[in-house]
Amino acid sequence: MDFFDINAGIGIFSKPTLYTKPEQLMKIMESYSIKKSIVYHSLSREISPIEGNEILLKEVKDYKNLIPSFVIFPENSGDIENFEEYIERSIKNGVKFFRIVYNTFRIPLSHYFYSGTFEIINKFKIPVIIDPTIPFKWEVDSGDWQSIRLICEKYNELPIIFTEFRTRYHIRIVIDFLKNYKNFFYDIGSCWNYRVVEKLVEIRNGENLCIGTNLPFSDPGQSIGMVVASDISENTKRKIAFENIEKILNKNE
Amino acid sequence: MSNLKERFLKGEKLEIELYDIHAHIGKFNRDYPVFAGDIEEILKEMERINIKKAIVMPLGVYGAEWFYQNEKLINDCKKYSEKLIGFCLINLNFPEKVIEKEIEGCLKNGIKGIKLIAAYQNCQDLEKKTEFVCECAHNYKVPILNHSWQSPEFLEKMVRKYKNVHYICGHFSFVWKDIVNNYENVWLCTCNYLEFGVVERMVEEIRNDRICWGSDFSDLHFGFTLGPILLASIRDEIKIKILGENTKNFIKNVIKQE
Ligand SMILES: [Zn+2]
Repeated sequence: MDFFDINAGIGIFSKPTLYTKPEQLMKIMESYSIKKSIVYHSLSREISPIEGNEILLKEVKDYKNLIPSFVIFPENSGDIENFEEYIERSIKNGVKFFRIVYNTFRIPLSHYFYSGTFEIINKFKIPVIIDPTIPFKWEVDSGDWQSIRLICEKYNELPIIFTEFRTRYHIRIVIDFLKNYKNFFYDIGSCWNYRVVEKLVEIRNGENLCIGTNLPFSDPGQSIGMVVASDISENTKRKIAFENIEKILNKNE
Repeated sequence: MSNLKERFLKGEKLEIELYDIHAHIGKFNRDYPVFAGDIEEILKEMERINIKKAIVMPLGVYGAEWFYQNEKLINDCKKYSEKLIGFCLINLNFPEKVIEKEIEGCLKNGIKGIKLIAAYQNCQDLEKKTEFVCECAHNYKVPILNHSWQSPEFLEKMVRKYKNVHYICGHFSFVWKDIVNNYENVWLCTCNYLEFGVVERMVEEIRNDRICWGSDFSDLHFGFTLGPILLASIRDEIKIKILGENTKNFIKNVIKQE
């Protein structure tokens, strides 16, 4: 089975990891049958999106199966002069996904909403990955569901992909979101609960599920294992493993 | 590529017998809805995954109604004794007398071991109460699976003092490494969130006959605990030991037969 990973990092993080370079990630991907990965840069995730994003683009330019995603600040954060111009330029340069890691920068997700950030992204219909996890803190259940609800409701054609280190209690919320918002996508690698994949595919035939490995931190066998070992049809497995996210990507090509 | 890895990735049947050292039944947990948690559905899942036997404990580990939960466990383990081996849940917040009476009652009713998880029960006097349970287990010659043994120093103290007990570290961590390596009666469950590269290091540094796969069903997804082992860059014969043979040996040599 082939996989499309929505959550892999490259670069040097604040603690040592087993790989840092794109060519090393490609080897790991090959060993786990991961055909494509949406990647971000360590510097973007932990300190400086603006510089990290530029390094990311240079690093992955020769690897067509590494899909670049830019970490973004909200509009008017003072980090860049013209937010809309930045977004437009990023897309021209090949960025296919944006990523919001609001907890790292202690900015409420609701501020991204109220500051008009999503208004601009929505113009370009570029999918957004929301990840509340701060690397090495590995907190559980950190989604800001009130804000995600606002975003999903107002921008209901914009794919919002949620991933986090671990969803445990909040699975009771995720089920409701999958049922109510067709633009809400969920990385099943985030929830390790018993029979959770089998339960979530009951909603929209699993069309809104995808998979993230959280490399370089987590053992990719965990999320990949959850797809492979699930008691669901091969067809649905393929959708979660690859096709659902490929479909989102192709929409923007 | 390892044969098991390749077959697992292709979704083919693995045709190896699994033995699970750490699992739960009981249908309810505070933290999330338990999907397909009926005992009959769980047995079907065990069949699908090819688990021959599992050591099972109550799922409502926070401790409310622990007598009731043990009663349910006793009934299910009696009914499906060829598949399930029960370890009773102990709530360490209760007085020692009550704890001992519950252990005794459960053992008389077919329960084969004890499960501790004081961290989830907000228990004071942790070491004193845990030691009391170790002493009981020593007297009854039954194993204990503990969610966490607090510290390697404390576990080693118990291991040296209460020699009739087999000690299972319920969740994997390298902190238990030396004790597992140095004593015959300490076993390590693989279940935990695993960082990238950990499984390879685990089999490199820890004696391979004491590493036992624990699925932690019906708390965790089977794929979450099976994937890292089946996809690891280790030899297939070690995978087979971890996934089945070691726990099969544990059951044969440690669990009292009727
Ligand atoms: Zn458990």
